[in-house]
Amino acid sequence: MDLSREERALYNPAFTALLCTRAVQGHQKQYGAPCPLTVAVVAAVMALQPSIRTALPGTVRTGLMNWIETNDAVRFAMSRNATPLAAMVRPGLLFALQTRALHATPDGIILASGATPRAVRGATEQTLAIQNAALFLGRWLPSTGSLSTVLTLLGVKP
Amino acid sequence: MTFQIQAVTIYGKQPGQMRTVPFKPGALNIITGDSRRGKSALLTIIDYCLASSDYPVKAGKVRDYVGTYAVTLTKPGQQLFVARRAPEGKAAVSTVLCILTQAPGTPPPDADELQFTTPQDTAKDILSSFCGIDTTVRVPAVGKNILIAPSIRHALFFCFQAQNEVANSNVLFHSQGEEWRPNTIRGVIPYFLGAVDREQALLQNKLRNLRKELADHQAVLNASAELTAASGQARALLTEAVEAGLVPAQPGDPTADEILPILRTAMEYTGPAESPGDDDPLAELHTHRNELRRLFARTRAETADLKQALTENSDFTDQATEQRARLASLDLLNQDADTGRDRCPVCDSTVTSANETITGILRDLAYLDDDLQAIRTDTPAIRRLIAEREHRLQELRSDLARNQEEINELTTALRRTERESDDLRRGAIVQGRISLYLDTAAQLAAAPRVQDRREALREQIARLEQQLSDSTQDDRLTSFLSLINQQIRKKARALDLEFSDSPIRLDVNRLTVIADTMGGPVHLKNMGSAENALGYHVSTMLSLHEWFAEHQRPVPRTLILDQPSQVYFPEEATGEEELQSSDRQHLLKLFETLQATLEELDGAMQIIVVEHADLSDPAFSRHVTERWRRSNGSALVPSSWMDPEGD
Repeated sequence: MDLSREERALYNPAFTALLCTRAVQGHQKQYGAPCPLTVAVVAAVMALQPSIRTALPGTVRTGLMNWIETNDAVRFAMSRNATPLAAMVRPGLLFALQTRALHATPDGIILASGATPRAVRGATEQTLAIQNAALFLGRWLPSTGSLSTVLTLLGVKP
Repeated sequence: MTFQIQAVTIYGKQPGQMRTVPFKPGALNIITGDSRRGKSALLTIIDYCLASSDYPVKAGKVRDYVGTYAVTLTKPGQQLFVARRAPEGKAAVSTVLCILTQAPGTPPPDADELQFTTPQDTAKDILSSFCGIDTTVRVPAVGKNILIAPSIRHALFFCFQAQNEVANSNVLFHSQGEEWRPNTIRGVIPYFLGAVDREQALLQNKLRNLRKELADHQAVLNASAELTAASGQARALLTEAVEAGLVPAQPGDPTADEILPILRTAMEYTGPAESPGDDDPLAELHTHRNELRRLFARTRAETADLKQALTENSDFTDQATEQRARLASLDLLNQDADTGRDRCPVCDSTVTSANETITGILRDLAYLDDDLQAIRTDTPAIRRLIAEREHRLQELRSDLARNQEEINELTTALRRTERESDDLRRGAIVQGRISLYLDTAAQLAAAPRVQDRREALREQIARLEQQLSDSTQDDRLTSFLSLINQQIRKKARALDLEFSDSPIRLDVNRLTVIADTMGGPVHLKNMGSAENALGYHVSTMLSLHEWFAEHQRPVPRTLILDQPSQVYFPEEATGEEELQSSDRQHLLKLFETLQATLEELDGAMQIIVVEHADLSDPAFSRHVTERWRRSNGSALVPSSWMDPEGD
């Protein structure tokens, strides 16, 4: 992929790896089970988009389906940006697996013990916000049960 | 995040000579040895490599046999190697350094790989940035009307305690004994404790300009209202008098005190008037006015340009900081030592090695750091230029006003005298006007002809002063210090020091420690016994470092103590047999306190002690990293470097 220096810096594998890790961390906290690969990728892709971050609700008890239906901007943003962003997120996921921050199991991915620090840290507000969004989405995306329905609603192929 | 010291390296004057003394970050490092084995030189070498303006290494074997000094600084994920040559020939210091960014864990390079290309000032900036000091901050100096830019040099006040400082009851901080240093230390303490407001220095500059404007304005008002100032009116009258031939032409610009006697002379003149030169004072004033206008416009344009540059710089910095923060995520991930696998962990196909990715990220980080470094060095300079230009604009504004006043007065006068053909009559008229000016100055005072803007200016000044006093810097400093004071007292108690039952406070104005006893305050210098002085030095430094570490302040996480045991030891003693058992206990307690602080900070700080004594107690002996004894022939400078006859 040919990227400018800015893009290389903003979507560098270490950062997207961190986002996947945050999503898995959120998932593990909420369900205590391995996180499906799709959840990690979709959470990271959504967290990277400012228009989606601002639309996120305050609590995981909010109905996900209803939220997607009422927020047209989210669906629009996903159909436009999901593919290129996923292409940036995938190397990150691979990087996390290579550096053993995450482990792949047959049921999904899990956090390596003692790997990433539990507390969200970062030098700027934006990096903090993105990490928190990924953490939240990891907890929230699987809340309806059927992930493929969610993805269809978002306009993304499961 | 800031750095600790990984190693000190010296290169001999002969090729291939190189010796490294490693230090453990986050731990207590004790180097013990006989006298004159180069222990104290360690502190001065570190000082020299951190861009000191002089050559602190004392004359002796180290100066004789060492050609280049170097330190390796480390912080999580980063390592910086700084080398500096000993001064050559008659030079007082070497003004170029070699600074290399290294991957963590890299050993110092060989002497022939060193390129000394970084000027001392730039090195100071780089080291300050590496230390985490915000190079755009300015703090007002104490007792002087200037702003100080805190740098790595200022941070070292809190990191070193040389042999003559560690138990000195007159000075508390490193180099406090030197001239003018105390004011600098007072000035930078609020910044290093984290109490400084970034915008404050700028506001203070604005306040100074406003005060200057008020003073100018006051002078203008005085001129129009009182007899004593050299107002435009008085000067115009003088010009007229010269024009009418009442007084000879005056060289230069007369002041208020000079102008009155001249005008009085003009009143006494009775003789025939001589024709003045053909130079036209009005035209001169207009030319001067045009010149002033041109300067004013140019300065204003320059100011606007500079402000534009400042905005662009800060936009870029915001962008670059965001990119940097994201790249720095690398630090947060757990990196397995074995990252060289180039098989996909899921499907086992060939993929790019993670190491390559890491290298790429580190390369981009280095680019960004270079750019940011350049911008950070620019920004303070631009700010300073803007302040200068604004000051100049203010001056030009006052000059223009004065010039206008002169033109007005002269025009009125010329209009009147033009009609008089007879020079004598013309002179008489001018005399009359001067007389009126001298006599009725008091009446003029009643109705100032310059618009009085003093109230508006005073209001602005009051508002700024309010804003500056609202900023809670002093409050914050007081509250920070009171928290630190509690720690000092706790440590003083642990060391069983005298006066530790009373409240202890660090006085940043006097730069000393004071105990508030029932009998009044007792200063460190009056506490008697070198043991107390040592104890309070150590308690204060440890408490400050705890504060720095807990609040991520940009001070190197290193404390270097040179021979704390000197207060317990007779001169030139080497073993512990001479030590009284109570002294022994006290000394051990000191090392236990150091160790307790380090454990509490959990690796966030490092202490280096160079020591004459060598105690067998594990509280001491298990931290000893080097033993430089005559008996085992080891020292900082290896004996193989020395000329056998010369030694």
